[in-house]
Amino acid sequence: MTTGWKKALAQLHGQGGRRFWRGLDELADSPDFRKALATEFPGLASLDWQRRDVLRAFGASLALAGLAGCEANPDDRAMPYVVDPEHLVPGHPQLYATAISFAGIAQPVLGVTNVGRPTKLEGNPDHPASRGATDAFTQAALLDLYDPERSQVPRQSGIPIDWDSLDARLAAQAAILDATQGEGFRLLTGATTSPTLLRQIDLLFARWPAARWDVFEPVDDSALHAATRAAFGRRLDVMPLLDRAHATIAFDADPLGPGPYQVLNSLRWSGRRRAFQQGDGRADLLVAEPSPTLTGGRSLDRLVAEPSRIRALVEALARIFGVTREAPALTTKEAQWVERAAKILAASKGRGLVLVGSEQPAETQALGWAIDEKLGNLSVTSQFSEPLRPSPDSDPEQALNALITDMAAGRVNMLAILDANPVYASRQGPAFAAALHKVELSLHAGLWHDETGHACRWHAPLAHGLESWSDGRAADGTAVIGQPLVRPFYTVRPVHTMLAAIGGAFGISDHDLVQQTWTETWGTLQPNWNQTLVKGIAPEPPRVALQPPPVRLLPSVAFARPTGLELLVRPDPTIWDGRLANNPWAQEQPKPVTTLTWDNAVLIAPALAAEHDLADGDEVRLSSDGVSVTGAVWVMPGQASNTVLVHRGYGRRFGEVAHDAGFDVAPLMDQRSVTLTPTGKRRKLAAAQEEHAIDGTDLVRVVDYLDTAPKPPKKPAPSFWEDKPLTRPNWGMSIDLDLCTGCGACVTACNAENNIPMVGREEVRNGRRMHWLRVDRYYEGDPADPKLHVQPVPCMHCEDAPCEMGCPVNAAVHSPEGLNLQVYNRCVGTRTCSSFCPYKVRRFNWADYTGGAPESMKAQRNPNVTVRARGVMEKCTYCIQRISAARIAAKVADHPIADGAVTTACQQVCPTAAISFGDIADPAAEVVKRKASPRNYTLLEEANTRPRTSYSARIGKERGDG
Amino acid sequence: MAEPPSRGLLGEYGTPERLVAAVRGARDAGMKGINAFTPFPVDDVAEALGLQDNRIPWLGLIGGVVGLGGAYAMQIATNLDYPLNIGGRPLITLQAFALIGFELTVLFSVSFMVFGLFVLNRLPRYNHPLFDVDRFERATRDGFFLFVAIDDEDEKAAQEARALLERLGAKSIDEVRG
Amino acid sequence: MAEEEALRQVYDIVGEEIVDLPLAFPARRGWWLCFSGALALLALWFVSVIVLFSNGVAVWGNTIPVNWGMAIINYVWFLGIGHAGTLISALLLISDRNWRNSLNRFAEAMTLCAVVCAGLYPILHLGRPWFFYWIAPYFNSMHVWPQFKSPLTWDFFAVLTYLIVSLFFWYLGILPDLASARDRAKSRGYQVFFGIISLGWRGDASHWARWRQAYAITAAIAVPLVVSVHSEISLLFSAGPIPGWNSTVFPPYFVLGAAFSGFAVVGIIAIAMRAALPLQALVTLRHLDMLGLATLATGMMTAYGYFSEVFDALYAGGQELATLNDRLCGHYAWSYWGAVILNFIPLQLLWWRRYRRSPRILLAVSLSVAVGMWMERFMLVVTSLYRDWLVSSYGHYMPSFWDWSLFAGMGGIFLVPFLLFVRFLPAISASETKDEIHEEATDG
Repeated sequence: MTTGWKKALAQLHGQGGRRFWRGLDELADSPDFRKALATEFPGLASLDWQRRDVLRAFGASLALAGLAGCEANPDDRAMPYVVDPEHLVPGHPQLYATAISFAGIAQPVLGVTNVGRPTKLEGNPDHPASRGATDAFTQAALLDLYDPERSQVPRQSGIPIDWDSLDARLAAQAAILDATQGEGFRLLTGATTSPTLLRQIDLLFARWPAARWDVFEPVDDSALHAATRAAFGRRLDVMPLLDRAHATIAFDADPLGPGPYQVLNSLRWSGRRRAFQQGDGRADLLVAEPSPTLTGGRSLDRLVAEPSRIRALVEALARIFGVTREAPALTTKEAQWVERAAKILAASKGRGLVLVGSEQPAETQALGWAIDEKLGNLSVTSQFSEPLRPSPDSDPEQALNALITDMAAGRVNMLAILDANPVYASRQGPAFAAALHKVELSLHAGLWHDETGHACRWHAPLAHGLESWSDGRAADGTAVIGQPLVRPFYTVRPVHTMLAAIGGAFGISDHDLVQQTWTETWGTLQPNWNQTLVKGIAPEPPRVALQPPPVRLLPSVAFARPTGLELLVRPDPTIWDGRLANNPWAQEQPKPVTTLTWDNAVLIAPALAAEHDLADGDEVRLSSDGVSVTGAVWVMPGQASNTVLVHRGYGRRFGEVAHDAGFDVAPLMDQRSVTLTPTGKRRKLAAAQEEHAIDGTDLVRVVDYLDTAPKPPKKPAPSFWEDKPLTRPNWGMSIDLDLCTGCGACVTACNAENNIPMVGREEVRNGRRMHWLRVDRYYEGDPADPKLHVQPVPCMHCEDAPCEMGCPVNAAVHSPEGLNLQVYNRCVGTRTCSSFCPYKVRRFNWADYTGGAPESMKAQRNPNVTVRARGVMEKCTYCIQRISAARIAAKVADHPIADGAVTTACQQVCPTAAISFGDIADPAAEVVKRKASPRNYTLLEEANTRPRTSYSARIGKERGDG
Repeated sequence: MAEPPSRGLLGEYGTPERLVAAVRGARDAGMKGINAFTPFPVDDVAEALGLQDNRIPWLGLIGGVVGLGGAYAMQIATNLDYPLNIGGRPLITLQAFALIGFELTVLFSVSFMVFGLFVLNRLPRYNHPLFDVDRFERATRDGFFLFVAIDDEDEKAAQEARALLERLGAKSIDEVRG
Repeated sequence: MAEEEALRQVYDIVGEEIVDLPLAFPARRGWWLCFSGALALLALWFVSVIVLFSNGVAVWGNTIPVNWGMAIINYVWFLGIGHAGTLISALLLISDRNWRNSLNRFAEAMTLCAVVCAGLYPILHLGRPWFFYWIAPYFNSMHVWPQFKSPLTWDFFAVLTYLIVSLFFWYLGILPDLASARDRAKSRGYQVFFGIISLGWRGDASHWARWRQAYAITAAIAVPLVVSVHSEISLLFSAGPIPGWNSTVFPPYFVLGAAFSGFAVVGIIAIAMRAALPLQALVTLRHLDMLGLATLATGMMTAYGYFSEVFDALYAGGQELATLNDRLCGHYAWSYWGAVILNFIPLQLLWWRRYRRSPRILLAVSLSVAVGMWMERFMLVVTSLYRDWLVSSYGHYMPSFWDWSLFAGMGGIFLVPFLLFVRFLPAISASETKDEIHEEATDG
């Protein structure tokens, strides 16, 4: 071709195309094609997503025994709550008034069963210690019933055996014990308030006088009892009557915090708070504490104080009222706080309350009572009573040590451990386990074959509280009877039957044992029995409140301020002493203050963190004379800089869910001070919330008491779209941030009600937790001493919802009743709705979170709520299933849905009734009244999405308070 | 439109200009079934042939109208068929529908034109008498061809046609058997 | 007469240069190297998709709040690249810029490949991709329809229309050259292959006339189409109330950015093809010069977009300002500054003709722009979402291995068809080039 080419050129140069053809001889070489490619596709990041963690969250690795399609039928001797058809209507849930015991204290509940399967626990609205509310523990307790790792067969040295061989052994032993008056027999139980169990124990020890009974409860009242014994000469329970206290000064005390008394205290506190909101008296709360608590978060003025400073603060306060002459040196900040406390107490003389934490030394607590006594508060705002959880020993710790010594010395030939786990939960755990080998017949009876179960020669599986008859006393002392919601899933024994068997009596049903107890109490069984089963409260002669004898002031034992860092060891806010460690709901429940999940941590102050150059997740070693513990650090704003706080309950040595979480603090349990050394390692902590500082935002509004005077409601921001007229019913919610304590019960209740899957540590870290309702936790101001705020955030159900605009397939739509609906089976998973949601309340099924769940856990699911599949978006529905139930009921009865006929799960469980839900088109509805309050505001008003969920601002200043 | 006669003479010309001249010449001579073939579009040729066909633009316009109307009809009808409250917005929002309206306008307009093009050009057509002429393969390279129809009966007319093409400067002349 | 003969030969040679390329392909070894590389990427794509489909989106790095990630980033990026093809051929055709003829064919092919990649991403992105067709309106017993007020539905129609129109446009253009290839082909196989796909085109004058009309009008419509398509992509973001998205500057900002990245990629491809195949006669330095100018122009306009965005934020204040702050100094500041630097610093070289005419420099600049624009898309998606409204929902985003592998695999989806096109079809418009030479020659 070249010749023709050249010629053509030659010719062309005479022609027009010159400019065009000049390029020809300038031939530039250029880099080749693949280089371009290489730069277009940069290097690959590392894969960090592990399905394993998701599965672990279900504890799914265990192949599960015969529970698939468990034949779950209710005990026919149980009495349904209110009136229900005799025969079971499928799809029609049945309610049973019963009780579930937590650390010995009975929590009165209504068990909801669907087709014979317990699916939800609600507080018993008729019970004064519940009023329909429960705490997060009680909500989570339901899941233990379905735990695939529950012990299902008796064991001898770990090998499954049948009941007969165990019974044979027990019978033989009983015979021997009868001969020897019970010589060498020891019974160790967890704390209990069950009249039946106590009666059984009494009978047993009447038979075997030489035997001994000890109680081991990891978190008990012994410190309080020691203090009352010193101050009043006898062991007493002291319940703060927060509903009567117009002024409360709390020193290192957390009455609103997690624990068996949380619901009752919160009920009472909110009662006072609500009255105050309506202008009746005051509800001042001042708190001095080493590390933020729920109570501290509610306080008007929170003083950050090391545990060892509390003594000085109380003394200073006592001195002002002339209770003592001690004049401790205070910093100006402390002095100001004490003065304010004094002012407040004086203002509410006779209605004040000084609370000193039971962790504090006896003399400090006594001083607190002395102040109340002086001001005439004592018998008004505190209730003294005989210990609710009786214990045979004045000092349980000593008793446990004595037991270990006896075992080691071979003086014990039979030890029966009922529903207790000393090998894990006590400081002497290892010693206890070692000593157990010396015991000829060591028997552990419990819900799980746990650490103690492994250490004992024999193990007997106990029935869950919801599978057996029992009784107990609620936090307020009233007796309740626990009836089973379902027949036992496995061949397990109720605790009463088990104790009878230990005494050599077999085949006695728990039902009969409980009936006997109450026949004795009442003289005659009926009609009380049936009434109790229906209503849930056992009638008894009213308990007389004790008049406390005058407070005996104790010589102040000069205690030296501990060298090094002060150590606080407290029960974990979501798994307590570890009893809920194998419970995914409890594990994934964000800790109320830190929002941590799946781990405990070493909580330290920002200052301390800066000093050691530590960040969240850095591992440190806490050591104190010889013993040491390593754990990851969590920087806790508002904690005393010289204090280290660790939580119990983690580092379990059993359980698919429990075993890999956190670290065991047992070795440090009786240390008061530690030294802290970074190890240089890191642990990935999974916090539900990454940032907490809200300075300069108005997400959580705080108003002065004066601002709460009624004002004309302000107009909503203008909108392109005309507001549609409200048809009835039209749903809305109001959350009172002045009442919410941030306990998180609503979160777990929502899990249970709406079949929300737990996703595991790794996925929580990835920001993929599925909670429909979250409790946001904010700090305002100086990290060393911030204001603490909490804010529950469900779906806002916006009127002009951006999420709906985004969805291309009409999966996010608005219902005529104003609900923002998510149509799961229409959703294709574009996730536009979540991108467009200013509140980020939408949750996406990134993986198949539900399909892999163990069969047993599937049995818990609420049949009225869709179980979501992989790849679909989900979110809070305002419990639409409850709305439809109410609508149907109303249709049947042929009247409009009454106000209060629909309660969402979060609203129902809330101990302070901070959540109100109802028909915003009904002028009489409570939610409308709340929304009319001048404190009412909507989140992110500037986004103009017109939310249906609104908030009531906190009241920051108190009446007449400068 | 009627299939143009395919029996005739095919003359090749060196450049577009010569082809144009030839076309003009042939028309003046009153030749029948004149047609031209070029490797690239040459406006003058079309002009010389007196082609006046504006059906393609019209098709484009019709398609556009159909698309626009269809789009709005679809969006309004579906919203009425299953009315839903979406983000509190009005049910029928003409502004929001405009975007899909535009897209479908374009889509239909272009599709109408493209398919119209094939129909009017009677493509695809895999066998054509012209393809039997070996030289015709140059029509897609560098050959500029003039076609004039002749009928077999009139031998004389055929001769004249051939002569005319030569006079008009044909480099070569082939016969096309219909 | 001699001149005539020369011209005639030029037509022939042009044809030879272009049309004979597939028939007697020069750089077989090089092509096979590229193609096997592309096939490897394609294999990676299939692996990534299988993993994705069997585990769900969880294998990616997406989270709440950043629940859009690489999929959407790359969707916007690929589509943007595609637009240059249409713009070059359509815009320059109606404005009668002849130099386009050497570029438009493969630019259009590039568009098609890019749009396919872009179109695949939103489907793979879905939680339940097997239901992607629910976004299309079709009759069903439930009477449920798409939500026509959603920007995603708009996108669906936009991308679909764009794909079809680009395909028609490209095929119209290539049709005559396919006929030419048919007539030049020696081997039976090629004759049949080209014979079938050229539909028996004969260069009939009346056909040409209609072809011209259809081609020109399509081109005229294609330009607003491009604008509309990427405007709608931008609405995907600006329709939401998220700070950093909800801005009226987005549509023009996106369109210009798209053209910007597109011209850059066309430059890359032009230079690469120039190097790989003997096309220097047709893809000349002048073409690179023009591409350089186009890149420079659109680049500066994009820069203005950046500026006005910052201005908006400063003007609006509040959340918008906070988001601006997150972009400039936040955890993902690298994406913002990376975009600014890679997009606009090297670009300034193109003010000088010398550099525009140096393939090396132009290639370097184009590559930096391609990467820079990707970073911009990353910045737009991630920095707006990871800290939007509520402090409590602040989060983070870290693309996983499977995010990257799918992206790399998309390279296969892009390259395999493109390389096949280069290998087997006339990569440059012969008929139009001849037309152009003819005009050059006559009005010379």
